[in-house]
Amino acid sequence: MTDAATTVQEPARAPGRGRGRPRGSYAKSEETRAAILDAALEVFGQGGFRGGALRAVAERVGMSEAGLLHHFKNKSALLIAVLERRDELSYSRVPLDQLDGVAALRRLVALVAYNTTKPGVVDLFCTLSAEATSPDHPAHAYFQNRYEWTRNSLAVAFGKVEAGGGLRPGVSPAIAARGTIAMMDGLQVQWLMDRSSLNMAEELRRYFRQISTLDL
Amino acid sequence: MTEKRGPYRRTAERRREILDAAAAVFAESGYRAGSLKDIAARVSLDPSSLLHHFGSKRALLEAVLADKIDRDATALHWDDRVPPEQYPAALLRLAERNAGNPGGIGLYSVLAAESITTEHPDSFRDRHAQTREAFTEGFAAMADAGLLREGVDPASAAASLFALWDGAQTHWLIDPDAVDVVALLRAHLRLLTTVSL
Repeated sequence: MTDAATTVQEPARAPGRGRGRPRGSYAKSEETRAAILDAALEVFGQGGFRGGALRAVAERVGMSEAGLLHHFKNKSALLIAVLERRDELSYSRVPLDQLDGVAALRRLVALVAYNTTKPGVVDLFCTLSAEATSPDHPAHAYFQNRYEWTRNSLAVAFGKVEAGGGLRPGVSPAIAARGTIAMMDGLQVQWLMDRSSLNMAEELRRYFRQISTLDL
Repeated sequence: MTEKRGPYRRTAERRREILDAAAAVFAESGYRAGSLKDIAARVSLDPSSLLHHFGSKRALLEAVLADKIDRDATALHWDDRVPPEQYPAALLRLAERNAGNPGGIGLYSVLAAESITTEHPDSFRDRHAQTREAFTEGFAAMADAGLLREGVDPASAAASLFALWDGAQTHWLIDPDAVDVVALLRAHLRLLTTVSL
């Protein structure tokens, strides 16, 4: 994806891409923000994002809770920024728009397996996405953009699978892309409700085998 | 209507109004933040008379969920013994019905997210598990009738259908033009079953 392509149509941006390099005091505050977000991912991943989680994040970066929130507009903005940071990290593991079809699907299964080691972050994602269904929720735009980017990138990946003759009859890249997003999100809710009830990564792999003939 | 039926009818109407108001408030604010006061205000009652009808906020939530399930079942002429060959079509009719009722899906979505936490009443979690069991039974009956594709296991089919449905509904609520829930489910049911849809 070139800069020209992203500026002409303003498509949903790849997570974490297209940001300029910060300088001076701005760079310092960017560094602090990044440290806060990484600490939040650690803390939320282990113990969840509810209760005293923010205080624990603040302690980890040696700040007060108020000092921490000072770097963000409010708590919602912080939570959204945590998800954006997580998207950047996920993108570095699975650069969906750059991989060939088989690699994209294999790495997605591995990403889901990795996510099961961070239940609190999965919880944050699911809770915010449900709340964000109301259009005036602060995270509504984040989820809309994320869905759009993921939908388009997955459609490209499944387009490559289709070109290699790997999609089952009746399955289009568009259906496969939307189905994959729905499956991943829905499995998370079931898994959070009862972690012993299913293996998310295995169910996703099974889904990929149902829609494709790939060896996964 | 005899005189005896009068007060009962009024009570039933009242209950109906309260259930609709509660469903709307829970969908907008969730269970935790949705207040009895808001619900009562919508039907011009005070919260204590509302409790007279339902006992507690939790009982009210139970009643809202049971009511949604009853109404879906009635609308779909659904009972426990939908013939296996008609099961996928019945599921699609349910999805079509939901597509016309974004408020109901919003309620479902918000409650599902809330029930992930332990502080939430487990009624929704229980219903979630029951729904999945019901799907498993439906697919097991299809397996017995030889209507599942080779290698498709009923429990896994239930989990995947449920997940796809759930996730697609959330996606649809956030971006209605981007997703057709019924089309996605139909495509998935075609992969799981040999029934023509």
